[in-house]
Amino acid sequence: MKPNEIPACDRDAFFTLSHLCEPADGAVSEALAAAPPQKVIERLLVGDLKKNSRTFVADRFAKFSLERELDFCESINAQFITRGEIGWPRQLADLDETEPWTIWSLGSADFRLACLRSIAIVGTRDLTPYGRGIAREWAGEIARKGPTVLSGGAIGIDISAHKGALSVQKPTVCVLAGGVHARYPSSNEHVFSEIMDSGILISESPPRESPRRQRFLTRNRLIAALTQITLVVEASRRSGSASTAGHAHALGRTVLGVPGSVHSAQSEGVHNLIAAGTAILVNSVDDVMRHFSLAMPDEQRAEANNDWRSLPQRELDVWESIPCRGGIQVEEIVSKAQWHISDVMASLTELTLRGLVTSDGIIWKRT
Amino acid sequence: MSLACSFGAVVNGVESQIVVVEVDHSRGLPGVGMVGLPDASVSEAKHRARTAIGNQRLSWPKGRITISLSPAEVRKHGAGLDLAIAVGVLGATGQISLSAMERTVFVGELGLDGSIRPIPGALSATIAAAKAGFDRVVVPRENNVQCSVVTDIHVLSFNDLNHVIDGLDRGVPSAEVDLFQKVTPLIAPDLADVLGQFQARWALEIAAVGRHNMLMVGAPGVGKTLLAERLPGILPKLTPHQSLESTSIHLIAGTLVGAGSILLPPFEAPHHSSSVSAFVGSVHGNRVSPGAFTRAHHGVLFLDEAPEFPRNALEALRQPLESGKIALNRSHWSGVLPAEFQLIMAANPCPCGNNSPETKSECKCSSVAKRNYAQRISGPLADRLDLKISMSSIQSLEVGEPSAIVASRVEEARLRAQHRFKGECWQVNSEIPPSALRDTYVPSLAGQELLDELQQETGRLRGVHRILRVAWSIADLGGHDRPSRDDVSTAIHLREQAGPIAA
Repeated sequence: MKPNEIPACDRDAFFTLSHLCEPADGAVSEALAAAPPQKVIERLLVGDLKKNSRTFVADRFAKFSLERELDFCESINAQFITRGEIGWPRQLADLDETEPWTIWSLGSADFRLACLRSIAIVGTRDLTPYGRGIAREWAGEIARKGPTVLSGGAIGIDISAHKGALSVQKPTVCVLAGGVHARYPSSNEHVFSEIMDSGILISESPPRESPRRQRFLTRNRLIAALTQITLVVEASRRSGSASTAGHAHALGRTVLGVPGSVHSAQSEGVHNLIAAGTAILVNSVDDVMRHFSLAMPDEQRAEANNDWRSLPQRELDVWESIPCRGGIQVEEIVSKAQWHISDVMASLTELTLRGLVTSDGIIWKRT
Repeated sequence: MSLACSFGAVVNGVESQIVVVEVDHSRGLPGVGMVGLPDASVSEAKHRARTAIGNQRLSWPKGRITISLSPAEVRKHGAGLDLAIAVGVLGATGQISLSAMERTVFVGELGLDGSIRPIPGALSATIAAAKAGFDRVVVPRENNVQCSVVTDIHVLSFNDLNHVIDGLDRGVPSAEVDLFQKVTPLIAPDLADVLGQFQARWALEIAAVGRHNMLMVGAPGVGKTLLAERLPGILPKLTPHQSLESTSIHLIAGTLVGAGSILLPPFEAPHHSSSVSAFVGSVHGNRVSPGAFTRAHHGVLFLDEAPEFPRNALEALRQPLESGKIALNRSHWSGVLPAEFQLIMAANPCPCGNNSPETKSECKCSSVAKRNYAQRISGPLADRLDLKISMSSIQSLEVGEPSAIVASRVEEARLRAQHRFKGECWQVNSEIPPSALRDTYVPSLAGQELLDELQQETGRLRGVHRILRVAWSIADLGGHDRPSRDDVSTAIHLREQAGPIAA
């Protein structure tokens, strides 16, 4: 067997790197900030970066076959994308050094687009009926209102949130700690397959990797970075979701917490987050949506929302008859747009729905 | 010793009730006694009857006459019983055969010369007589045209008492009816008179299709009243049954001029100084005067300057809007008056009327005054208005369609709705109950999607049912099987377009 060569292109190099060491490995991440991935692999192999892991990495590298792994991805229909490629979610750059190298995905949704307007719903595995109810109901309502629901794949709050959104026929994004092929836990397999039908499973570990304790924690930063809002439903005092919330807070993302009873251990972590000022207390989905619209950067909102260029002719005519400055009354629109009054009325409602026009009941204006 | 019994009718509420008039002639001191709760106008009947009989060269019996009006516990009023009482006396004294009085109701006021004069309750008496299964009804000549519309009963008219005897006993033909009376001009003003106002016209047309209640907001002089007055002209003509009810009500209320029937939906526009009694109807003694609500039955109630109406008068609208009836309880009379009407309200944008976009700078109202004005139309009342539109004060010179064209579209749409509602207990879109809107009369998929989207966007959507009812009317106008997305969005637009008033 001829010895492996370090791949020349960035894409393959990142792909290889992801197979050699743990996601978000501190020393590797630091090195990547200064050097290209090829160089980093080289330094790993000579033991320059992490002395004690030299043999381990070398061993892995010797066993690694780029071709085999790419073939495998293809065989299970998994996609992957590496740092800096076209289609790489820009919000991940907020992670600085710990920005992932490669993300595998399996499913039918476009992972970047799905995350463009998304809310993470996280919480404990050891949930109460209250938490399950909130996760399911709110996820459904949030998904109906537009944002994508994103969560991990664990039992408990995570899976309840997915179920809630799926129950209203909305796709979700599931961020796994293990590979997208070695889906864990297997008891949630039926939900995973449902997610793959409309949404998408993603992971920064290679497809066949099993989840490890460390990977759950590094995975949490991904959940925090991909979304605009992290909503913590139930979390005990030492819960993993507190780590997600911490990451989100550190990244400047909005963290929201659902209050519970003071007698409930499963709400203690949420209450602590709120008390510490990390999370903001929310009472309803309306509250969540208010924070969500505040958190959306303008350009993203514009991209996700209103594009008048795509309007049908009738709506376009009505839109064009409304001046850019000042307002206009319905009667004037009728004579300018040359449509029947009923068409004008219908168009105005459609345009209002798209957030393109507003009215005080008499005067119509562009937003 | 003789006893005769004739049938008359008295008005009770806005309907008539058959009264049995028993006349007993016995020996004793000459005099007339009347029992059975007659009021002053009924008591006077004995004087009119006695003089009329004398002047017709018939004989008033000597001795004691006792007249009993039954059912005895019902208070009786009005001069309509004159004829029945006179005929009863004639029967008791053998001047008219008892067989002639059988199965016949007599109504009419007597003149001292024996002539028979018109009364307000003639039509309702005829309706009551037909319902009670009588064969014939004798009504004053002037009321004949109106009464002849009633089916299942033979309507006769005579000039005077002698003529009644001749007609019933000897088969002399009844009085000739003046055919010229039939010609009653009933023309509603034409929509073509209104210039511009596309939105308001379209809303009016939709309102006509589904019998939706509507609010128009606009500066003085933009044509709110003009439009409202033209609504009866585009509404479908009254059905024979509705026409009977309306005519009867207006006869009793004394508001029907001429001898014809009401064929177009009545239009009532009470002034804003009207009291609650003027709206719901008042009771004087035992006589009920139907109020504006009842007079607008089967028609249109137009409240111009709606926020200027007294608060309690506006709140009185709730019961009729909800149930189509007014339950009136007064010391001498309790009962239910019909009041199924379409409500059209007009309001200025503010007390001074200048708070419209063009003349905003001239508005001198304080913000408190404006808010108070807008709040006059309370939430529960505003919620019952399916269409709320604002009228632009921009003067357009474009002449709109004439009423005839709009009316034909409305009629076609109504037929479509009636066909759909076959077997249901309602006729028009505004009356579809919420449960039926959820289960049977749902919009098209695209229409439902729009409602869902809107609910997502705003979090709440008030009055989905009302939007849907209006959407059905728009769909009927457009000839759609179910409200399309456009129908629903037009309906949403029409519910929100009144600015701060009734928001």
